[in-house]
Amino acid sequence: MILVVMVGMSLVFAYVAVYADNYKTGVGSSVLESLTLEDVWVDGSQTVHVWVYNSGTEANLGTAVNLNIATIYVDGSALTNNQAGSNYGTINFNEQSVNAGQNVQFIGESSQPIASGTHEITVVTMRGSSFKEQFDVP
Amino acid sequence: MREKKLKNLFRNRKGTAEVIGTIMFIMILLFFFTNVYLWHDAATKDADQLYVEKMNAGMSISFDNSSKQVIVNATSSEITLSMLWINSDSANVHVYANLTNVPVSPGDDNAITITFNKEGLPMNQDGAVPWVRHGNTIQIANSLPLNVTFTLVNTLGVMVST
Repeated sequence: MILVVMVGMSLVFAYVAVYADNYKTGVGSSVLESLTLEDVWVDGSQTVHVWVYNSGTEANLGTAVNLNIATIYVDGSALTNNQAGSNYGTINFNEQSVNAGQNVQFIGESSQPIASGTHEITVVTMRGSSFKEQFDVP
Repeated sequence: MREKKLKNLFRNRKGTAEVIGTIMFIMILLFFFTNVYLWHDAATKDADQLYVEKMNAGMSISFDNSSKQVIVNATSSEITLSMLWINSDSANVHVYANLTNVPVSPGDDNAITITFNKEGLPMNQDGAVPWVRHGNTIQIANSLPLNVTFTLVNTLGVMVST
């Protein structure tokens, strides 16, 4: 009986330790994510170039917080990945990480032409944070 | 009778190890959860601090069309520039100058002037434009497109546009 209890407690202890560690590096760090959508350019009518800047640097936060983009939406519709790689043609943009202090360009394809006027772009990270910005199409 | 029962209870050492073990186990679990809670609290404070720094990192950008110069000012505290976006919808131009680590102190004397070469090559449709810095002046070798707008980003992620 003592052996069963010891093994059980050790398993629970290991689970809690791993959970705490994963929480810190994963979802828990979402509060530290800081992303600026610095430029959105609609090239043609459906190709969207999105430049992001990760301001979650060690100088700003005390620790560098790298992040990965999961999906990009324009007016609620997901863009498809237009960059070479295994995610090409899907709505996943997570191949290229945005390290702290880096400016990175993502190129996506809208399923329908983006009309002139003001639109809203939403960038969602793998940790679940979302960043919104408005942009104009001439 | 009651006294006797209490004496027997304290004299009986059976199960003492299990009780101490369980208390230690709970204490270790509490240590981990407290650790996570305190870490989350500190992370939230760091994020709030960055938000406050963003609020205080005021900067202004203005464009003089006749001299083709951009003037950048820090309005409250020292800032460090990150990117200057040069966009023209009519010319379909979206280019940037990667101004990483150019500090700007508050005050008109410390303003950064960005100049463009009227005789220089036109800017490409997209990509980076080269630049050189001489004191408080940044020189970009390309000429400006028509109907140009500028967006400046600092290292805190604050943006201002003309």
